[in-house]
This record gives sequence, structure tokens and C-alpha cells, in this order.
Amino acid sequence: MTDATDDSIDEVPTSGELPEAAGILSVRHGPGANCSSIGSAVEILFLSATAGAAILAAVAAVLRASPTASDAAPDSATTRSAAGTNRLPEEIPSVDGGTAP
Amino acid sequence: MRVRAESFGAWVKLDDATLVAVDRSWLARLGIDESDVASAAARTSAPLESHVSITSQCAAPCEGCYQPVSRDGAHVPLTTILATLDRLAADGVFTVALGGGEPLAHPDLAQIGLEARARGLTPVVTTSGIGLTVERAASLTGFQQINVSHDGIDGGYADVRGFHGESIATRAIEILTRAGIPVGVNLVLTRGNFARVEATASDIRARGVRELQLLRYKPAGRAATLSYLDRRLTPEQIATFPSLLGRLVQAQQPEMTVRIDCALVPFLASAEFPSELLAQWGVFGCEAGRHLHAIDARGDDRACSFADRDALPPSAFRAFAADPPEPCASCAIRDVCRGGCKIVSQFVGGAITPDPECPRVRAHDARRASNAAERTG
Repeated sequence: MTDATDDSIDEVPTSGELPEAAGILSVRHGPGANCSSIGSAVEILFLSATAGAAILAAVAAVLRASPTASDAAPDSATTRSAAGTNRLPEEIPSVDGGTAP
Repeated sequence: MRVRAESFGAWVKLDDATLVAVDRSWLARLGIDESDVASAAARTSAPLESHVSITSQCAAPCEGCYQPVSRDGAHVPLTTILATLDRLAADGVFTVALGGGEPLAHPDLAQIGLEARARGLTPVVTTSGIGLTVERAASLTGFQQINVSHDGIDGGYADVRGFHGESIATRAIEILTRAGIPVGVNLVLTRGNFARVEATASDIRARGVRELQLLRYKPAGRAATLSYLDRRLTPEQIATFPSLLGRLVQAQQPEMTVRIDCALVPFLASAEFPSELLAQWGVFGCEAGRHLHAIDARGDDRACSFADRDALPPSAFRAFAADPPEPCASCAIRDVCRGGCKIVSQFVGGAITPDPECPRVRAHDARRASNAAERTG
């Protein structure tokens, strides 16, 4: 077992008023490619609530359109893979104020 | 798409490596049984991302290198690396970031990337660009993204690394982009290059770089000397960091995205980003020993790439994040920041404490010193 970590992102808030995205706790864009420390995309912090909601809706649509795990064999006890393409749109909505500091 | 059961629901990795955390209401749709969730709740969760050093060899004389590397350092054998990939995949890790030393020095780098892909992992790599050729780049298309270290134009690179490697970095960017590989740039922020960040961002975006990753300078390895105190960002620079981020995003998107590393999250404490916003968009502070894990070139597990295996074990990071002292205890972004960079606090203060360079911690410490002076005065 890889050096164990605690789990729990239980404190992460839900997606609020967007019914189709209900239950999406967190969206972490892209892998980054740094080998020394963990990186996080920050564009989204500067977007308006409207643009953020659009991204959540897109994520929900991608998840709903994806083949379920029953379509694919499990590759470990708690990890499932599914075939097919499921990715977010390339375009990130324009910055238009929102919560910029 | 890969799905990993967790006690709260699941992590889902989309094809573009975006990670989505969902609650239990999504489980049936994702094909996860409640028994999987029960199993996840009973165990400790695996990291989301693992940083794996594949060699101790590097020809670059970077003054701030955090690893014990040299020109004649040894490579980790391919068989060992494949066993590591097997272990990470079995544990449900999503991303494996290969580093060194200089990963390009490893003769099996291309195969390692393909083997990681074959195991369902998202392979990425960081390089100085030294040794990269057009032919070599063509073999590296198995990687989701390759980041090139480039700390700034007009002397910014030399200011951080102590040698003039800017042309090596820009050549590597050109070769990789022509090979069709998504390229990012790692830019380590120091007092000396801070003013050049925006100009550097524009320069690399024009060269086809898709992502700028800003990194905090950390006192580890060769950088763990008193010179760190003169090279780290000034309090004034830290105070302007959130506004710098805003300008960078405004100027560079959508062609180039901007990322910050875990150690820079404390510098957002004064920016009044709601904690819920940071969490919802997956901003990670110090995730050492939780979502982040590292394996050094000797094969030893570490909480993060900078953490000494014995002095800073994963349990120390988790214990601090679970019950931090003030001012972290009452900080609005505590759950995301997780107390800031412990590599910094360990070096500056000799112990795991609230990040001494966080603006909120500095203000707290200043008030305590002032109150103490009043009492004794």
C-alpha cells in the first residue's frame, strides 16, 4: 500500500443551487506536471458565479454521459475504469470579474 | 474515466485528467457498490498524486536544487520503477509525476511514460530540457504534459538557478511544442525574479506554453542555507501575490492557464477568497501525507518531495492539519491551506508550526510580540 493518507474531503461544500450538479463536491482541473509540489489551477477563482455554474453543469453532463462502471471490468478493489471519451470543454469561460480580490 | 470509491462518495478522473469529487448520490450512476464505499471508509485513502524520482543524475548546477543529485548519479532501474507503477495503480493513485535528478537522463523515460499509461495512471514529467533532442521528444508523446523549468526572462532564470539556462529552457519548449506535447513551465518565485513574472508569462505563452506553474522557493537540499532568507519573497511581494495572480489570469487566459503550488496557498489568506470556493475548485494547500505522496530515488516513501523521511513523516503533517494552533485554527481557509509549508516552518523555526511567511501568521506573531513588549515594558 502506498504510504497511507487520511481521506475525508467531507468538509467540501456541495454545488449549491445548481440541481443538475448536485452532489459534485469538488472539481480539480487538469493534472499539472510538477514533480516537486502539488499545483492547482486558479483561473476559476477569478470567474463569475455564472461562469462557475456553467463549468459545474458541464462536469455534470460529462459524468452523466459517461459509461458506468458496469460497462467495464474493475482494475482494483475500489477503482473502476470506463471506456469512451469524457473530458471537459477546452474553453474556459472568460474572466469577467466575479470574486477577484 | 477512472472512478475511486471513497468514504464521502468517489473521486472520478476524466479523460483530460480533471478530477471530480462526488458524493454518494452519484455512486449508482458510476457503478460503485455501497460495499466499496464501506471498504473505503474502513481504510486510509491513497494519494491522488505521487511524485516519483527516477534518477539521481543531473548535469544542471541549480543553486536551489532540493534533491541530492550529481552528474554521475544513478538511475533507478526500470524494473524497480515498473514495480512502483504497479503499486501506485493498485492503490488507486491517479497521477504520477516523474522527476529526478533530470528525468531525461534516464534512458527508459519514454517507456516509463507508456507503462504508466498502460496502468491507467496519468504520467507527467518535469525537466530542465538539458539533453532534449527532436528525436527524444518524439518518443515522449505518452506523457499527458511535460513541464520545463524556466524561472524567468532577462536574467530571472540565472537569478534563481545560478547559471544561464534560459536558452536551454526555451529550446526545450520549442522542441516539445513542435512534437505536439502539451508543455507547461515551472517558475520558482524568488525575491529576484518576482518583478519579471508577468513579462515571462507573456514570453512563454507566445512560445506555445499552455500552463504556467508558479512555485514557492523552499529551503530544502542545496537551498537549505542562510541564503534562503535573502532569496525568499519579501512580505511586500507576498502581500501583492493575489493581485499578481489576478493580472496573470486576466492577461494569459484562455491560451495559457495559471497554477500555484501548495506552498503558495497561504499567500491567499489575505485575499478573501471564500474557503468554500477554494475547496470547490480543487485548490490544494499542504497535501503532504494526504493527497500527495513522494518516492525518492532510493525507493523511500515520503510525505512530499521536500520532506525528510524521518524528521517529517506523513503522520506529522496529518497531525498538524487536524489540530493546528492559532492563527491557523481560526483561519477561514484552514481546511484548504492546512497550515502552509512545513518545509519552510521546519527550516525557519526548527519545528512544524503555522507557516511563518503567511501574512496572517506574521500579523499574529507581531501582535503577540507587541503584547509581550507591553507587558514587560
